[in-house]
Amino acid sequence: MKLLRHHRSRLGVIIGAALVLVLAACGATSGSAPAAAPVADPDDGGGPAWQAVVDAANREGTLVLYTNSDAVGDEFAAAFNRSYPDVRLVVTHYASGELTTKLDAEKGARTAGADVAMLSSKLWLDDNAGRLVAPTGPALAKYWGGSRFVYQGGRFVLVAATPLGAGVNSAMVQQLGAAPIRTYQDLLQPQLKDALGILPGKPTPAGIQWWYYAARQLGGDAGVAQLAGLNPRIYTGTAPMGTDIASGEIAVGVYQVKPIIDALAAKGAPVSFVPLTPAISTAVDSAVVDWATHPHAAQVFQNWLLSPAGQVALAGNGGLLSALDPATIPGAPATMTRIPADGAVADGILTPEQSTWLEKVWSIQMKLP
Amino acid sequence: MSVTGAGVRRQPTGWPWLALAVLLALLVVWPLARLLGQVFGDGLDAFRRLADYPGLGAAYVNTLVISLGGVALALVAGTGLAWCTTRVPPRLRTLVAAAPVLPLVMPSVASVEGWQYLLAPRTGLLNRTLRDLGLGSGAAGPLDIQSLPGIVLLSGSILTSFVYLFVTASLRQRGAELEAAAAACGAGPWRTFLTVTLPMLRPALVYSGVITFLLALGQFTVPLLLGGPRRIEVVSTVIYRVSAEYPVDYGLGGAVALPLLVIGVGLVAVQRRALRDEQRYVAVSGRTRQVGIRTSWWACVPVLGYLVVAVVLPLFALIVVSLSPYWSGQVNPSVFTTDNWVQALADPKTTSAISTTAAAVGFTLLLVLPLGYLTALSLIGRTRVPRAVRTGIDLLSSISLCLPAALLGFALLLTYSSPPVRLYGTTAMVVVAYVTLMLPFALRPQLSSLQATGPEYGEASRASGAGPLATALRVTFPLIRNGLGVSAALVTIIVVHEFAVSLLVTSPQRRVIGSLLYDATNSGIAPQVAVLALLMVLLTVAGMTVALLLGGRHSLQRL
Repeated sequence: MKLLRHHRSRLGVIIGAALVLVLAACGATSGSAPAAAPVADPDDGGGPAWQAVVDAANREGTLVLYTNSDAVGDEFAAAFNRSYPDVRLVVTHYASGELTTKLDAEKGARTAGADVAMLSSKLWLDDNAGRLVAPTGPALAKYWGGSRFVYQGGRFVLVAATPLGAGVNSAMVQQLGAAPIRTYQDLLQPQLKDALGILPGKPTPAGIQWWYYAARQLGGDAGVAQLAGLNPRIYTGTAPMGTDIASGEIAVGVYQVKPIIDALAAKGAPVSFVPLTPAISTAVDSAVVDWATHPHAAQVFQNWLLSPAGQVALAGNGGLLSALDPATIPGAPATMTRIPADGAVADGILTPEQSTWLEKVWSIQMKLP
Repeated sequence: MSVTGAGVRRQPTGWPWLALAVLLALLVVWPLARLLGQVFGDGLDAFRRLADYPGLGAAYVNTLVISLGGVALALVAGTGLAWCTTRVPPRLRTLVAAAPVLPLVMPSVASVEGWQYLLAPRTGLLNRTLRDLGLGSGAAGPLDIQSLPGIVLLSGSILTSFVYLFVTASLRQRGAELEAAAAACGAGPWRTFLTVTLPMLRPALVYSGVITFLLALGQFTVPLLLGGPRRIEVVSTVIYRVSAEYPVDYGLGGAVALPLLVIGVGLVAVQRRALRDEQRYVAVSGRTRQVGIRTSWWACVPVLGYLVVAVVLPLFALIVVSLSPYWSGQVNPSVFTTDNWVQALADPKTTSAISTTAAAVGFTLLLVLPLGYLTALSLIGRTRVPRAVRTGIDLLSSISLCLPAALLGFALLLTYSSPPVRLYGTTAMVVVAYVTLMLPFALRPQLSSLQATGPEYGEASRASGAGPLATALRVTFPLIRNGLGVSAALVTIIVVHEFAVSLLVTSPQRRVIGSLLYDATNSGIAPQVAVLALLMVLLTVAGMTVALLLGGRHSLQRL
């Protein structure tokens, strides 16, 4: 019994020490990002009424953002916090379908959840326009007048587009004897058999549309059949696909985003992002929901996102395409690119033709469940 | 024999037990009824949509193949391990007998991710090693974890601990006198095993077989993460995909899972019937002993082998990945860094998820242990519960075992995200979900302990004038302390590892470590996933240690 007690006291010391270490680590703060001057004051032109909203947002202190965009990361949150240090931005990532399921659950429960949603499903936004709140800040009128990206009187706005391309492990591509990946057609090289990964889009409507447009570049139904013949590995997210490209499990991953590959490359992984041309992108729409528990913070965030400061934070590094023309934004980085006027942007509303293609061609060829 | 007379307080009868049955019905049947209402709400239209849903037949077949294969493997391995632990030299027996339980601290996600790093076709560490040794050819293989056999093997490995728990308890309880007698009569070890040991284990094998089959039918993590890349769907992943399509078709989701529910209820009924004559299998003596058995150090080898496969190798892979800047497919200590750990622990989401998980475990235990105790009390023969109410409580307390967790999450989301009870987004929602899910696990160990203690002490307490609460606190709880500890440990393990329900019922402000880990598998890089998986293991170990310390020194053996 004494021995047991002795062991218990030692165990207690070990657990205690571990807890102290964990708590110390929890309390440690990471290095703060260097401050950068905002491109323009997002509150400019708001007047006293808007200032009252900003003050109320500061009192609320938190803003919950749901997004399915991998481009919305720590740097984006840090940029917002530089403009509004008293409002903590909580970003939660969901796959597109999970995100709309969560929004529907919260809408029914009218409970704590999202304040703002950034998603690619125009279908959900159209269906729920009555539950969305138009921006009350100055940025919409000031920068988005006449824009084709403002829907339902501003209840939701296409704030950016995600240009999807290929993540490439060049060393492995070379090892397989394949030519460097530059175009959609390069994805069909037989050397890539069993070394190619794709995110098939399903069940995300915008993803399905992306492949519908990409299939045309691949050579139509024959190209899709050729792609299926390479036995591509199916992924459910860009991050796990990026991990497999970096490790060499696959050589090329298609329907990939730049921020994931750039983050891996920054850690030394032998990977690069190849923007396939013509660019095919998926929409990033943003909306304030009417069950927001931080309604003022939601308005402040949406206004910031629509301002040049938010647009630079979102699309300045070229990971996303900007909905505003960078030429009209003083101080915009050279990497910032506008959504091409003739580029395909998948909005998440499948046409009958696209639905048929999904059912008769894509699902069958790719053996999708 | 019950004690009656002046000064003896009568046990509660009738209404209080009916209230318990109603509470259980509200927890379990109400969400299920709402979901079934969606299934049958528009006639049989949900079943028409079901018939049109692509690939569903393959999903049902895969579910059955994986469940049957995994359970067969687990029954063989679990029974073999339990038998081996009785053949280990006595001085090592306690230590070795605890070893097959250790894999329970590994969350399924951690096992899956660990084995992905070991057996991914091209870059898996073991596959590379095997190719270097000349086994297999080309740039991939020879083994592939992302395949149907891979899923069956991993499922079997995970379920083995559960079978071991039941079989080893049965072996320990029965002792070895009969086997010793068989050996004395000239039977060889194999014949003794086939003609004596195995028949005596029938109740434990039936019980563990049904429980693990139900767990396998509803399993989600392994097929989701391993089957996805190769288009291997099972019923629970189909339910999850249905829940992630807009607009959510709750009727279709319920219809997809209905066959599993029917199978589950049928199996529990068969299990009850098969175990009804359990008295036929009792040991010949009251005090059982492991006597007359030939022991050998070699008996440790299979146990250690299982420990290596189920814990050591996947943990090793996870630790390597967690210390790497990115997963390169190779172990390179020169680039190891603690950055991933520092970042994860500095992230408020991680600390918040850990505290939410700890709170959810705490609240769940506070609610589900008393509920399990009351339920157990109502099921033992010596309480005066009307027969119909007792049957109802027995059924209600088992239903959530028959439900795939994904279906339960689906039903809970539907029920608590709309009037009249809106709980979505609150910790209460998470706790209600866990209590519903955990009831069978909180009940069984307490029921076994209560059955083992006998009624005399409780009756003496009541004869001395103590009420039911005082009797419970001063007499029954100390007597069933081991059972409470086992219940607490099981609930802690399963809640910390819970994944399928958490995904659906947690909101961003109330994330638990399981849902955070799932997010990381979708949108995080490998080292982030590895760090979170290891944190989950540490959290499980901490919770299990506390529960077992509270349950007393014999809890681990009883677990």
